[in-house]
Amino acid sequence: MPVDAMLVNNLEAIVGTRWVKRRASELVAYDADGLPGYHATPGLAVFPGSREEVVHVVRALAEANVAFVPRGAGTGLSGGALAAGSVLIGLNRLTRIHDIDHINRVVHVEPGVVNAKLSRAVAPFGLQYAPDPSSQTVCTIGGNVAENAGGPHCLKYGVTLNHVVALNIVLPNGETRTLGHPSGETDGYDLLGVFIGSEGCFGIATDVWVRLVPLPDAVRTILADFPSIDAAARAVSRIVATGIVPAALEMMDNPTIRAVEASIYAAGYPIDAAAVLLCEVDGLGAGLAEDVDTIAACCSESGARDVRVASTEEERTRLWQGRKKAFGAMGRIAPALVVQDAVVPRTRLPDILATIHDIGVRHRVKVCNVFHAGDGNLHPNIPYNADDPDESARVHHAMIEIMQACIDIGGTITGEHGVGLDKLPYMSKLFDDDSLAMMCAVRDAFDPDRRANPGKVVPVHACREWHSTRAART
Amino acid sequence: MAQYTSGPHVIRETPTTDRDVAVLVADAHATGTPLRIVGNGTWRTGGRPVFAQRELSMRALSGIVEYVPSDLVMTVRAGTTLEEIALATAQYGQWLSLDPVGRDTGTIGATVATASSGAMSLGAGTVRDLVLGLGLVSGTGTPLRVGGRVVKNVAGFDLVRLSTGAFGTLGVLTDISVRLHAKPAVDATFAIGIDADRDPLDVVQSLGLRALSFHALEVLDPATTVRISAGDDARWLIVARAVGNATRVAAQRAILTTLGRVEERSAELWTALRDEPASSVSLRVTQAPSRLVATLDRVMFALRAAQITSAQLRVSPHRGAIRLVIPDAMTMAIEPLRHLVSALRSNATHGSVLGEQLPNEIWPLLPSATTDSISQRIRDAFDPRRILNRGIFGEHTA
Repeated sequence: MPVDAMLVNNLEAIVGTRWVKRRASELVAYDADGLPGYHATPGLAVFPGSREEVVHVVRALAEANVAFVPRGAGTGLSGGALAAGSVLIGLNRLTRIHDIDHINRVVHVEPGVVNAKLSRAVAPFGLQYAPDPSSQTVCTIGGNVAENAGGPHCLKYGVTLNHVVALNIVLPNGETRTLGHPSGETDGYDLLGVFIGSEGCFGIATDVWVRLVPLPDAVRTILADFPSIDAAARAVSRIVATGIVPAALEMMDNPTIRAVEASIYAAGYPIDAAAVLLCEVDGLGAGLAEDVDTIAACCSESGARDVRVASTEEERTRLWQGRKKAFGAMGRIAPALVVQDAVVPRTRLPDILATIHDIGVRHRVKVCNVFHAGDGNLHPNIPYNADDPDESARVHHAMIEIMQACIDIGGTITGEHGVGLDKLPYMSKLFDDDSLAMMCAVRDAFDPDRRANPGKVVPVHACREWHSTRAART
Repeated sequence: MAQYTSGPHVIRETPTTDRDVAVLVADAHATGTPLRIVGNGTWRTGGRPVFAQRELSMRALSGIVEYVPSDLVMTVRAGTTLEEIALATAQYGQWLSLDPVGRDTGTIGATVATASSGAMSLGAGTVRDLVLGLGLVSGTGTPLRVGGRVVKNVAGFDLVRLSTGAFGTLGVLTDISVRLHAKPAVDATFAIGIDADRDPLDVVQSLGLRALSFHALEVLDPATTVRISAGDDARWLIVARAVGNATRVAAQRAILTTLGRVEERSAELWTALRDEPASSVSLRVTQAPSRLVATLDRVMFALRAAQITSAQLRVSPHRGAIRLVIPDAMTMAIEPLRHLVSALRSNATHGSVLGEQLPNEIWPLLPSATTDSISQRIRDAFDPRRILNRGIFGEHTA
């Protein structure tokens, strides 16, 4: 859809011609995010350089009644930043860290600040920003807010939602609001809570205040090697039942281990293990050794062949590198990779992994499982060749069956990647029409014109039904 | 409370199934009849006065719907008491790490509706961090299901967060899924008395970031100290809860010894702390933790200026929150309270003053937080005729 010339002029007047991209050759860079197989070229991309510019851009779009899609680093895995024909608003120029209030452990940042850079900036104060998605070296805080991003260490520390204390937002009509309170409490509806994870459908956050947590005094990282997935899953349940809350409790299956060990990220994982558990405990130094002993005993009693504790920081970094770069390692197997995301009750992990294995065999696709075992958050990943229509179709069908299997055993379709476009078809399998319609109604409270990231998160039919239902009731 | 519509002229409905709730609310919606939603009705009233001649009691809608101990997730009906949850989870060495003001005879529904958390929120998070999913009946009588029964979930917009702390105005909660924790190997409570020549907040702030390693850490004023413990002198008390293995708890005790003489106490201390007199006025003043010393000074000055001598104070240093409890003030003269709240408000430029339980006349001094257009539209979406707990947010004063 071509964008009106007058609107282009207005946008260029706000941000400067350099920061409005409208040539096909420029826009192709923004035709995809981290979700493979989906391409959608925006009609135009605009890159505001300040909060004020964001507000003016959104107002100009409101006046022209044009839809927009906010984008951070474009690392999202659910297609949430795809902007077919509409205006893409890139927030990655807003990279200022305004104020590190280390005494109150709150930092005020712009949305384009890269996650890992924030943690580096606050480390000299003995603090960290805890949520650590695997893409943390490139993904932005604004994107994390939009997706309610998690990461391996959210088992103990919580997800993005648990760390954001306030936001300044621009509503899609150009009005501004402050949600939450940087230093006090709010009552009334938790508008901050519902904005976080709204995937760009409620507006754009221009300022983010996040809570920091102390860097742990000490960290111990344990690698346990299991002859079966079941044994590893039993160990997870045993560890959690002790009352120890590990900072992270990650599992990788054999195909993942092999992919990692064959890559430059080789971490020294045993390639003949059916599964490995990577478990980390942190906090006060005192008592950590006992926790490590308890966890090691849980693993051994569950059938671990070997339990190893990283003895140096280098060894620990290497063990984690294998985990954090597992997706990259899978990239060596095939040109494209579906990184899937679902959650099941932790006790159902062995069942779901067996089911996923069967689905993979039936559709002749290779599933590599790497996941946050401590909270039942699975990432079944399938490396494939996106140029092969037959293989792409098989991958697609396998993913549909995997999602359905997760729903059937009481799980959910996404734990940290969001719904975006990719998970849209599953929403009505998970929620009834009335509950979906209420989600639409809440979206309408923020964006009555539905111009912010249209067509994402909630299926359109649910929104239509809401309108007819509401009309009938009033 | 006499101020609320209660007594023989109020009709009380006690539904026993979700469907009953849906039918009752749908009827009320059809006729535009306001409903006041109550849990067990055993504890205090929260929020502003509700204008309703009909009460919906959730006490009969109780019991565990699903509990898989190894998943550390429990789903219960909204009228289930915290005590019932504690008993069921204790059998498996687990707990719902939540200690809101009040008693365990209160219901989980009321706790979630009011987003009430207590001292353990330092270690385990607030109620908003522990609720995973909800069943609720909207103001049109439509059953809704939001969130789920798994510990991590970003499917769709977070209506769980929105409904938690909504004081029942978005829907009548019917069932609630919560995250549990395994009980730690050791759970110890310590107290340190602070002599009159030392500033208790200076003392606790000397812990720095180490303060955050505790499961709970509160500072109690002399009046609170006297209320909760039998033989304590009237002095400031720092109380801390340390959990984990024995070595860790011993190390945490050692950290506390830098503050003064550490005494080990029973965990009953926390129960006593929660058990505030039911007819108290209560307020929370919150500022950035670094402003806490000055804020406490101002609170104490405002109390003196208003000539209120019976107040009890409890400070949550990590949150910068000061809780004021004035026993029996629901029936005392209004003027001193009016002075107090006005003074607190005028000093709260960087923070917040929130009321929990206040006489009717005082509520108008505190602005309603739901008058903005987004909140209004959300309310309209869930409860278009505004029949649920009408008035509780001060958004409607008919």
